[in-house]
Amino acid sequence: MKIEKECSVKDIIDKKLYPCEKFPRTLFPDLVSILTELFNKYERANIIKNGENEIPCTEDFEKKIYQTISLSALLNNDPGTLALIYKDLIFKFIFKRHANKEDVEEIVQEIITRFLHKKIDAIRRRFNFDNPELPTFTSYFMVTVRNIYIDIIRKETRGGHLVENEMEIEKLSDNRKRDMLNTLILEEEFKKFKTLIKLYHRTGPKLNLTLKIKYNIPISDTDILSCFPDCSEDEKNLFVDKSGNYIKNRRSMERIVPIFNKYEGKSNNPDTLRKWISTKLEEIKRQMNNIHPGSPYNNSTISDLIILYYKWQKNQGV
Amino acid sequence: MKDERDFFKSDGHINDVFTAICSDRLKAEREDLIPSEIRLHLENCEFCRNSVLDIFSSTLSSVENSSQNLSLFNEPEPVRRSSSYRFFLRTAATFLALAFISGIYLIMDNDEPVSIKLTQNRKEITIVNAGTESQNRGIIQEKISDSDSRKEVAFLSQKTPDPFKDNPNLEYMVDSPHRGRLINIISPEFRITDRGKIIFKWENHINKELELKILNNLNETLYTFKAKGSIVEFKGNLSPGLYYWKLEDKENLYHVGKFLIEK
Repeated sequence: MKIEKECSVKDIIDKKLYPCEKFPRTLFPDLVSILTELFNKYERANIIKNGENEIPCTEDFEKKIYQTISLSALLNNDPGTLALIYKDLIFKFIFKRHANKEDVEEIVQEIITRFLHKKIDAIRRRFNFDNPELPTFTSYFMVTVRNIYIDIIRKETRGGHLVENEMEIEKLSDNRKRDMLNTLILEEEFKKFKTLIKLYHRTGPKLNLTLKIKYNIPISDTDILSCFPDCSEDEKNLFVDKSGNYIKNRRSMERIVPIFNKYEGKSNNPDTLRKWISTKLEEIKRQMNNIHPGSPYNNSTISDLIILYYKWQKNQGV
Repeated sequence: MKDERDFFKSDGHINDVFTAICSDRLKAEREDLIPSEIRLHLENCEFCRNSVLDIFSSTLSSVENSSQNLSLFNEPEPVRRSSSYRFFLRTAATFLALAFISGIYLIMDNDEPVSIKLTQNRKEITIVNAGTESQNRGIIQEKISDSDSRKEVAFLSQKTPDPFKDNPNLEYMVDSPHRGRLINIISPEFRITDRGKIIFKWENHINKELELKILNNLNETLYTFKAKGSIVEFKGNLSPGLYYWKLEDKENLYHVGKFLIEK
């Protein structure tokens, strides 16, 4: 009976309460064991308290699981366990920003302490699990973690713990950098880059088109039309070279600047467009570096990433 | 329709709830569901783009177990070779050994460097001999021209950049008079003789706290120092190569210099 019950607890956790799609086990490795243990503890306590033999395996049983280990139950009754579930995620978040493991442990502890003592009430008040318009709890929780982290760093910097006169504030040995570079997973980087481009709501299509031209990536009809939906056939032909293929040469910028000018109501020259691309590239590089330790992207690696990204996108049939 | 105030904090940036919502929508590839006011804001606000991208990245499931796990910087996988190819390699190695011995024999009476280059189908082998007695062992470099797509993905690790090569992106800024008006550089000299100790010294006419950065010739920042005064003593052990250094604050880049640590 006991084994059967443990199976059903795990099933409910896996299939209903914390499905892998929403709680990937790579991010929440100990989730099932922590929650099963918590539920067993609760069950034992109940037996002692009420003199019951065992909680019967009925609908009540499932209800009891929900009442004990669902996210809202944990938020309201057992925030310590909630923090424990998210500890790995917090650790990874901080580890991306700090080289020293001891520093990371210390910051993670501080974040959890502040979450439990200062933020928990506000989250309980603001977060409603029944409201579909609200974000997922994980995203909301990570925004809170990020805010606490920024607060900690800001205070430490002001207090002079991190920055001292003529003190080396950042030193990444070649080995450390190499290790870090080795951990970069290409596909994840593509997803981040893709997301970043999406955040350029209006200029995203222009960015895609010009980056492709800059890096000699063949462009397509879709690229042109998403940038210039009202583009005429004649104008589209300006993107086609002598051999009838779409241009993929940065020198062709001269030919297409008039189209940009027409649809943007400007009178820029090719250099202005080139400068615009450079500025955007700098922004992209900066933002891609912000989500990694030690700024792995320089001009060369960001270019390589972009070229590979478009090849990957083509292979994906996007 | 929601009031704009629902999306933004008093400081004008997107609030926590909508930062989280943006991350969720992007993860679900439903960015069209992000309110247009927020999308317009994100277009122009790097701070908020950073926040959203940060949350998106932190909740992005790792693809460690994916079959498409392709590392950008890992060493390429060893190329599987057929037995006939292995036979070819063995023959080539024997031939090389003979060529190497004859090379040594030739060099004994010749001070000029010797270079032998063999090319056959997919393989190019270059033997470089420095021509001095102590270095007569020679260096064998193998390059296999293989268009394997995995290798293409891992191409960055195959690059062996020359540590002495100029970086054109930095070179044009070195000692630029437009930047250096407010800073008068005293040291270091271009050639560094004592690589364990480098003194960066300048006359500062701007009275600001500056940051000194040491970069390698790939434009990667190796060290950052906070400099309140106008001297920074670097104690470390930089390997031989060409390095650049910058003096800057948050808004301005005041000086770019370079130095060489010789072999």
